[in-house]
Amino acid sequence: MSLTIFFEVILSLVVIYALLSILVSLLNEFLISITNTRGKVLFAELQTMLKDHYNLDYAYLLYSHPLVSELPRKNKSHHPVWIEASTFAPAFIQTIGNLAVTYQLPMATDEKNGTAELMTRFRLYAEQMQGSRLKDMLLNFHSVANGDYAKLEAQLKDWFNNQMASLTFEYKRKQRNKLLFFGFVITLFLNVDSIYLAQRLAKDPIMRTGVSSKSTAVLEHFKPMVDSLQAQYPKDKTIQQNAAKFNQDYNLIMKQLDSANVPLGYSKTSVPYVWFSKDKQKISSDFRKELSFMNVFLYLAGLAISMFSLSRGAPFWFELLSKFVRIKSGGGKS
Amino acid sequence: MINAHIHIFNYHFIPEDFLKVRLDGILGSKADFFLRLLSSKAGRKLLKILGAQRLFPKVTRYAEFLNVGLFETQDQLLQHIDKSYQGLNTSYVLLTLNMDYMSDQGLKGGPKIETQLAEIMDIKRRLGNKVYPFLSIDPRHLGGAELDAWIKQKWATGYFSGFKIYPALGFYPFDERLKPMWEFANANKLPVTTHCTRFGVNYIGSGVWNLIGTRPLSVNPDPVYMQPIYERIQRYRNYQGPARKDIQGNAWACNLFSHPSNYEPILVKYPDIKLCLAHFGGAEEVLAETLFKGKTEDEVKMLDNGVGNAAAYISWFELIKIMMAKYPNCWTDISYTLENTKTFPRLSAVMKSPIADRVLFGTDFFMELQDKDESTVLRNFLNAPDFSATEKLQLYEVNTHRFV
Ligand SMILES: [Zn+2]
Repeated sequence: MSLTIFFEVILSLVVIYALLSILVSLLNEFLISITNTRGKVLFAELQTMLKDHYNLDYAYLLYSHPLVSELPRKNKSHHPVWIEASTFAPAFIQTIGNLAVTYQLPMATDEKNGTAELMTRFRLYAEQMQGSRLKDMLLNFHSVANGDYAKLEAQLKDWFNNQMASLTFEYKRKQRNKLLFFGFVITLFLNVDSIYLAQRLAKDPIMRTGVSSKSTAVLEHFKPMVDSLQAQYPKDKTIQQNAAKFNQDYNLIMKQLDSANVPLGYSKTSVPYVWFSKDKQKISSDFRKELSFMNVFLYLAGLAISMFSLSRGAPFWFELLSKFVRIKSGGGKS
Repeated sequence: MINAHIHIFNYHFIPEDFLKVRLDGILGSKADFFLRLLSSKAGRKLLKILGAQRLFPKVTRYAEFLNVGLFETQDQLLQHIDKSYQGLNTSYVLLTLNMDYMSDQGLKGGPKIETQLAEIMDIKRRLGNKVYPFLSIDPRHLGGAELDAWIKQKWATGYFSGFKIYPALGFYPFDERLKPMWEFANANKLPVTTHCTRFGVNYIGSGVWNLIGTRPLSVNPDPVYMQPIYERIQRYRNYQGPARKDIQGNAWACNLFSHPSNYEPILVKYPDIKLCLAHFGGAEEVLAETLFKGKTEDEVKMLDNGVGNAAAYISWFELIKIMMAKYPNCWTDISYTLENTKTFPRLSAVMKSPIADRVLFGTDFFMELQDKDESTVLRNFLNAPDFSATEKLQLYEVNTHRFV
């Protein structure tokens, strides 16, 4: 196999994975939009920070603060999907400070102005809390700020950002399992056997050029969609409307693959049906027609490769595809 | 106008194990069942999806109930009900509810009541006389001297106007540990709203018979009032009917906590309280269509009044009327009962009787959303020919103002 053919086979596979992984990512986004996973994960993380068993659930109270409760969301029963550190810090200081007002904690009159008042309230409330780690943290934040409101906010922002960094990591780890599941669904649904595809691409120059020549068009056509994956399913649409949209995207992608004659799906002449066909002699291709241990093994391995590849998600494959396209166009010039 | 009975707690304050449905829970009541769904992630998701898609019209009613219960803040629930009262200048009695002890795992993740109260207090601070928060009391949360200190600390803020108890969650209203509450209410002539229907939301933990006990200690041990109660407890304990398993279940057992006669020792001992036996026994009792739930009428009468006394059996509605006639500190409200318009003629008759000055208008938002929306309930009441304009005014204005 010459280097050019090898490159084209790989490029073709990347194009196929890129297109199919859009479906995986879309299914995942669809699920996330129905279940508001992002909002829930964020709230759960804030509860680990702010729900104090010895005192109150300050995450809940933070969410009832107008700075947070007025954030855009699907409806009143959805958590906002994201809170900025610059929103969190003042909202949290005010949530704690307002409790001092609610509980009518006495305050000296000379402390009643500007941000100093807010900081005093913050301290007053923290001081009367039952002993807890959160209480210690709040009092420490207040001491370190040393009367400087901006410093108090800065510490809270840092604290929030650090927590959110670990949250993002945790969130991605959780998403990986879901993507794996949807990779599995698409692989089975479309009978995506990577080994077979690679072999066909290597043997069939028409299919190879057909797919690889699409690389630029696919990149240009679908990159914007991949970039805006999170916004693919409008929050104000019903599930049926969003499902219809998914169906539309699905057809668009399948049209691309069909027009390049990529062998996907199930037919009497394809693995695994062909193994059980009575007149396999008549089928022209001799490709893994026989039911043997080796063929079954290759088939399952091909499916497994597809499943893991697709579960990397569309952003990964489009990133790779754009690199290939750059190499290809660069190579063309030299 | 004052609506003397609404709830604005949201799903955050319902125990997480509320869904662990036991069969008697499902049979218990719709409220119970849907609150259970509300407390589970999967249940919420399912009903929300069904409701949002409007696939099943009947589900839409429940979806609305769930949707409101799922609002992220209590403030949003208040804003939601207030939409139905535009132009009516309405205030609301906010009945807080401590549900930390209604199940075995209610305290998992820490107590929730103080957070619920903190938000309610903040709402009161901002809205003033738009709302009258009632402080939810449960003897398993605090009792005796601790309860006394807690109540006084809460009252010092000036945010609370009365007390709320919900005995079916697993305690007797006459529970000795509640003494500080009754004494405080009596000394300050405060209103106390309870819950007085058969079934409804009830204790769902495993130890209901331990909570029931045999001879629970009372704030007023006078045997004249306590003996009939102890005998009823014994009848429930000894019950050997064909549906024995059922009586052991929480839904039936918790009727022991809710029974109107549990309030007699209190009404006698604390003449200056305003005790509201809310719901007037419930629409079924008002219509004398007692829910037998797997039992025969005779069994129910026997359980309530004892063998040989079946003839003396009367509905909780009638019983509450008798108690109101006897005790001037006994009140009731028509919340959730109002939701069933068939009760109007009977309620109207009450409004023409001497006890009419102690009946309160209320709707039991957002519980009533399972059956009707707030606007419909309100409109049905305001347009009902069964009540004269004076009677309506008495229900939602005169009586309610005297109560809070
Ligand atoms: Zn109620």
